[in-house]
Amino acid sequence: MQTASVGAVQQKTRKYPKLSASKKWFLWIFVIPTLLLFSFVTIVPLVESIYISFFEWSGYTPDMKFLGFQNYIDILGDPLFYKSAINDFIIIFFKEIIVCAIVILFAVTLTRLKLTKVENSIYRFIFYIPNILSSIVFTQLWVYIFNPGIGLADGLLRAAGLYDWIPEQGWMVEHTMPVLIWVICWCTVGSFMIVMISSINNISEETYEAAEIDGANQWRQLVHITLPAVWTQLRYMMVTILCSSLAANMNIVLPMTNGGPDNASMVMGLYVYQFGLSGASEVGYSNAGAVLLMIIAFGLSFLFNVVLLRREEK
Amino acid sequence: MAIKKKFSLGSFSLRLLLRIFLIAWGITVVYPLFWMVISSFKSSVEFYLDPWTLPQSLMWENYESAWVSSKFSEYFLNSALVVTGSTALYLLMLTTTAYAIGKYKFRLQKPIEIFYFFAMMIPTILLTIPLYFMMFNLGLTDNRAALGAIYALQSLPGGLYLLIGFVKNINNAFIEAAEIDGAGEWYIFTRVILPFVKPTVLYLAVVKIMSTWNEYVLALTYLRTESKFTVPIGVSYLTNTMEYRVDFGAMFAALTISVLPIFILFAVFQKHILSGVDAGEGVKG
Amino acid sequence: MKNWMKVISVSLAVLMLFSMSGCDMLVQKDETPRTSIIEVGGDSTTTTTGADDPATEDSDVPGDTTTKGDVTGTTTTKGNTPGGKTTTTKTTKAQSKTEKKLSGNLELQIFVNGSDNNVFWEGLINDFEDANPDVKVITRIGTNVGTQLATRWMQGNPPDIANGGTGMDATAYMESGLFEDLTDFAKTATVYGSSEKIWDKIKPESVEYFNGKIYHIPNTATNYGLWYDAAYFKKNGLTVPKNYEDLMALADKCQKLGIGGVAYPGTSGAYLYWGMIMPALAAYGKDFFDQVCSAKDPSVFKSANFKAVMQRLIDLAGKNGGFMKGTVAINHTQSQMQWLNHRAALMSCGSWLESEMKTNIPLGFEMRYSTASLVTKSQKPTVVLMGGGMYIAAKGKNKENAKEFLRFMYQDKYLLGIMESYGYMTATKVDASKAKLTTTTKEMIKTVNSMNVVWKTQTMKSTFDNEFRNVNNAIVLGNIKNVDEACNRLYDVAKKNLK
Repeated sequence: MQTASVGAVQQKTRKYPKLSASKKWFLWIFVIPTLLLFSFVTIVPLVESIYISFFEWSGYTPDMKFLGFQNYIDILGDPLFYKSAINDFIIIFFKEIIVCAIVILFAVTLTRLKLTKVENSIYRFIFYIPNILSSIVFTQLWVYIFNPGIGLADGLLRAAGLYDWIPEQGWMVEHTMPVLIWVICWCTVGSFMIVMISSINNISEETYEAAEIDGANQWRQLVHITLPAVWTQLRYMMVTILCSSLAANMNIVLPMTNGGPDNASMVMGLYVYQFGLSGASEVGYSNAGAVLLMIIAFGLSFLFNVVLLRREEK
Repeated sequence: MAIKKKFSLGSFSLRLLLRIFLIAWGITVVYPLFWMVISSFKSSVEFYLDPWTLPQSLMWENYESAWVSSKFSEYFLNSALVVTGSTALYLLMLTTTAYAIGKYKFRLQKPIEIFYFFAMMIPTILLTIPLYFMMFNLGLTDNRAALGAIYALQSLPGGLYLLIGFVKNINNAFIEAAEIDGAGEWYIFTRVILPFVKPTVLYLAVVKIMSTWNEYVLALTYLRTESKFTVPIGVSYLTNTMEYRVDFGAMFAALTISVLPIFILFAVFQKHILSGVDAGEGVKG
Repeated sequence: MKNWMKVISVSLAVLMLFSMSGCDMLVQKDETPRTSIIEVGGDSTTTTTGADDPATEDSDVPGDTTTKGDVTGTTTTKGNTPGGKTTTTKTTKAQSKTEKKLSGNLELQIFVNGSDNNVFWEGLINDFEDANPDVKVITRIGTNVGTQLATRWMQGNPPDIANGGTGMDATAYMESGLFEDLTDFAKTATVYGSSEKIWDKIKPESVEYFNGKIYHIPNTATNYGLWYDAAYFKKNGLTVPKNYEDLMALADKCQKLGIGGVAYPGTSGAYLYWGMIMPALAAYGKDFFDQVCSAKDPSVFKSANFKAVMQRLIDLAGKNGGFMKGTVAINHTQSQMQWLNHRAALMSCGSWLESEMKTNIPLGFEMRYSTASLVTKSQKPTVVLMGGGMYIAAKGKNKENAKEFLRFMYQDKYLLGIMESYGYMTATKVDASKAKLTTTTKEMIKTVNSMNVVWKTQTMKSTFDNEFRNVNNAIVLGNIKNVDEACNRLYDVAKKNLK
């Protein structure tokens, strides 16, 4: 039970008790300025973004033409927008599944498999490497690996004799989305693996031993001991992937395919970027797309959190 | 610290399979890098003809040409400045806010928490243009400090999402004990709260450092003078130039140069970083 | 780490952060990137030396600057600085009596593609400075200047004159009114140092119009075509294609060899249509071609001629050896790589290819240019030429100086120099035989001159350009097999753009 503290915060009397002077000082020096600065760089541009979305503006000249909701109507009538939304969903869907599966697999393996300490640290180091590389660096590498015919991917398959049976694959052309999903997952796994490893390490060995004695096999141990214990981290991982996907997807898609052959790999972030920051500048249109995107992202994250929170309470 | 007994994961075939996965993944990580390094020693003609063999001889001239045509030493300095400053600012803001939201009870506590939670879903990349114009009107473009501050602020909600949970889990008894002893807020903050959340904070710091070091879009938009460029901008400019000059060896040399320092840094500090996260002090999510 | 250490290091870092911001604010905005040359005109104590007779004198005479015009000999120009010290700089050329003295600033944005083109530009700029010592010239030259300076164009603080290039979407800028209207200037201006009109010096058919106005005066002429390796063709008994039917026949042979026919960078699909499709459209006559480029009448995309050309593309794409597999997704360097490795017989690219690849051609590779395209056997061999020139910023602060620079460029020495440096043809009447060109380029010029030349005189809108590239890529990929589908897509976009 809580004991009443002297002079400071009283836990159970008023709903919003008076804060001590010391706490107030802390709030005003640290928390409030942070909040104000954050609002300044996030909320103000957001509001401005929404404002611009109702205009037609090239970004180069100061004249803006009021359009009302015309930009939104145009976007919702553009089949390319829907295509990019679907592409984004596909990427996020597979990304969540693949990344979560690989992260758990490796985290469990690295913590519970009988590996020497050296081996363990080598693997951890290696698996984290994609995260310390800039996306510019590794997208270049992967583009050359998937170079038609003379790339490594084709070279390996040819050496393995596979090309005697199946025709040469046009990786970036026929399998654009799978290649992109692969590269995106490749570069996301590392950092989440770290936190997963640490939380698995926090589970005491006795729990596992007890379960083993009770006859539970590896799979049951995984599902009933490991997973629930790392649930918060898992949930954090899934939500973060979802929220950062818009930017992350675009960072990989832009250098690798720039929207793909005939818009096959267009994603929403790229769609907005093309109209805003590059070439055909219709900033109002692009901002309208951004606002729609935000609404979609909001909705998704909300849904996600609600579903996951319910799961947790079960 | 509990002794971590390595428990065997069951059947031999399962363990073998897992080992194969580990090795396979390791190869997918290591091989592209290895290829980048060996390509950096080839001449362009050699590269064109067969990208996948080892180089005939080591063309160190590629490194010289990459270094000379770029200002990598400056880029590294700039990146280091921006990353350090922004991470420090980030950690400060993050920990203080997380403590206040997690432990203080005041009228705005819940609203602020929800505010940050929703703010996390705002895709910051979409705010790039309006934010840029705002900064331009304030005269803060082409300013590494402003860029660092923006980096710090934009990652705040995500970190808070993780950290607030941990802070809330700290047993209030510790705090009350300190208050009874007459401790001020700063003391409570540094001596009671921080030690409990150290692993998470370390993890967030590491992630922030990595993502800020590699951040490209904002840096490109804001930094205009070459002497202020960070490494990602430098790399992209260089790869552009090299592509036109069609000098592959030098391009890969440039990529290797850009990757090397952070690689070495990470290798050296890896034990501290990764094991720091490891040593959780009984704080479970 | 001890907590106090952490606090100290945090505060130190924050301090560093703010001191950095202080530093940044002290630095003036016009700090220039290192890839540029800064040359300061004559109002400093440095003297610029030229190649010929040095004839500098120092004098302490205050007062106005005097210029001696001398058509035959060397000239000295005196300039004054407020501090009373006078410096003189000499010019290496004769100045015409009619040339007025320039002062002020000039900022240039020059895109170079990485080969040694910057040598030409630096020479030109140095000469310009010698002739106008009171002008402070700032040059931003490099491969990335387009992206680097893009936000300045957006903010209304652009450089004065630019030559386009990657990172600067010239058409979009044109559409947004960022370029100065040069229509009157083009018709009335004279070449530097003479009374010859620029308009008389250029080929008037090479001028490109946007909404009836001129935004860049042509200087160089770019053409695209299909490049091939003569040695490889000889070795494998392939005939160099001259028209569409030849291409179809070549496709069959390529399939037997296991290679692709044509490769091009799919990510910048314009290489394909300028090299292969536009000439075929131009073969139907200049008016038709103009209509296609300007897209002002969308029904042109459903016309019989247009459909015929598109059908040829579909048929070629339908052959297994027609286009290299995977060409739709590769970038410029990858396409070069594929071509150099003989995975494709032909590569569609512009005339700058040779100068760009000078140092990278492997032994035994004989790079040659072929003007085959989708033009059929029964039509006249046609090639499309595009006039390239410099753009002047409408919001630039030194438009007069920029225009003077343009006039300076039209002297024979620089018209030939730019041809030699880039391997381009010229859109002017200068005697091209005087330029020192490579054999490949000379052959190319001879070939082009023997063909039906159609100049591109209407600027394409950028949204339409994008869709055209997408449609072509879709056809090559095999996603579009029906010609009506392709034409309808183009028709729709053209219609939308009319608004």
